[in-house]
Amino acid sequence: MSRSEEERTRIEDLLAVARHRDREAFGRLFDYYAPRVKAYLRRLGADPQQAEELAQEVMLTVWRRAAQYDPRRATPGTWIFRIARNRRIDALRRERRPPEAEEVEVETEAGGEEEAAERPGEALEARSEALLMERRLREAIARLPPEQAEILRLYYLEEMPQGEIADTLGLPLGTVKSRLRLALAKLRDYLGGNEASRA
Amino acid sequence: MTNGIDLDELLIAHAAGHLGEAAALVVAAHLCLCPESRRRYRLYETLGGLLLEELPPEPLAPERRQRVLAVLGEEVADSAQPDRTGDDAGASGNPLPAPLRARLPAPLDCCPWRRSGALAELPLAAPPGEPARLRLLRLEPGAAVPAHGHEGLELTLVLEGRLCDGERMLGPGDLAIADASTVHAPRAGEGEGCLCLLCAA
Repeated sequence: MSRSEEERTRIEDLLAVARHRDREAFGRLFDYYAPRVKAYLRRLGADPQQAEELAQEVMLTVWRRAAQYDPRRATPGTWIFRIARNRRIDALRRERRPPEAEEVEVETEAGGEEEAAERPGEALEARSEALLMERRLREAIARLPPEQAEILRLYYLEEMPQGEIADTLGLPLGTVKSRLRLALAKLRDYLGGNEASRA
Repeated sequence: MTNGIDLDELLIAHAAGHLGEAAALVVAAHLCLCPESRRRYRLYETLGGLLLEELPPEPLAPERRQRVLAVLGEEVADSAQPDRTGDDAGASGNPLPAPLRARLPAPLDCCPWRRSGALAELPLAAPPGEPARLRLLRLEPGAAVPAHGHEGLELTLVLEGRLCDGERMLGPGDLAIADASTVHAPRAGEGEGCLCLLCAA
């Protein structure tokens, strides 16, 4: 299967979980995402046991909240990343959060944009603006100078403020900051430029 | 280029999960009010998802999968649809974005504001272990915050009215970012006053 076929399959699987409580589809999502969520949590400092427990919780949250997934707004990867990130924050801070906190996240995300109405018959591809964004973002990252792409990875996937990234790479903090800013500006330009040329 | 932090760095820090709870709340409130930041934030979250998918997978112990699949039947589906009224501020006459409303002990006018001249302040309960102070500040028209510097990051989100911060005139949803290199004395717009949310390290 090509990458984009795989992506579509994962969207279909998540929608099948949402609509039909499809356990086989969930099993496939588990097999794909749980080990990646575990890897993410390990990088951010969780021990193996803790990372597995949290990954398990993340996947159960996926099962419970699948009805909130909207393929136009996010790819499954982005949606699950968000759940994993929030679980990790909760676990690390060990703070009591108001019960609203989870819904707040949803509202922030929902941000009063167009309705994601069901449109049967319309190609998933066309509905999934998120999938297009992800694809273009992947292209854009591939075009970044390697040192800028590295900073992005370190920034998201290690529990590292920029100062520590600088120490780890033996670079001045200003260099790390400017690489991060340059990388972000390039990604935005690339995506913005593409949007403009599409319009 | 300064070592100060700009809006994009703040958004990406929020997307990557690196902000403390107080700063995260201010950014979440800002996102409810600012479509442009929301657009960028989506990009940064998409980036997070993409990097997550690129990670070499680390298999879980096989019994984890069995255990999860075994309890699915007991899990109650959370059928709530995503709320599509994220930027409903003002619609109900309430200027506060949802993440902030959820944190208030009472309706705004019933809260124990501390008045001091043309300024009124409402401290919000800090989560345990959170070093940053979070508060609402209400300025009467033309009133200014005394000139001050900062030890760390200070975020000011305008919720209502206008706030003049140096050269910049901020309106609802605008965020001012100050750090150790900033000394400023923000002033409310003449004629309309200002309500803002502040987070200071």
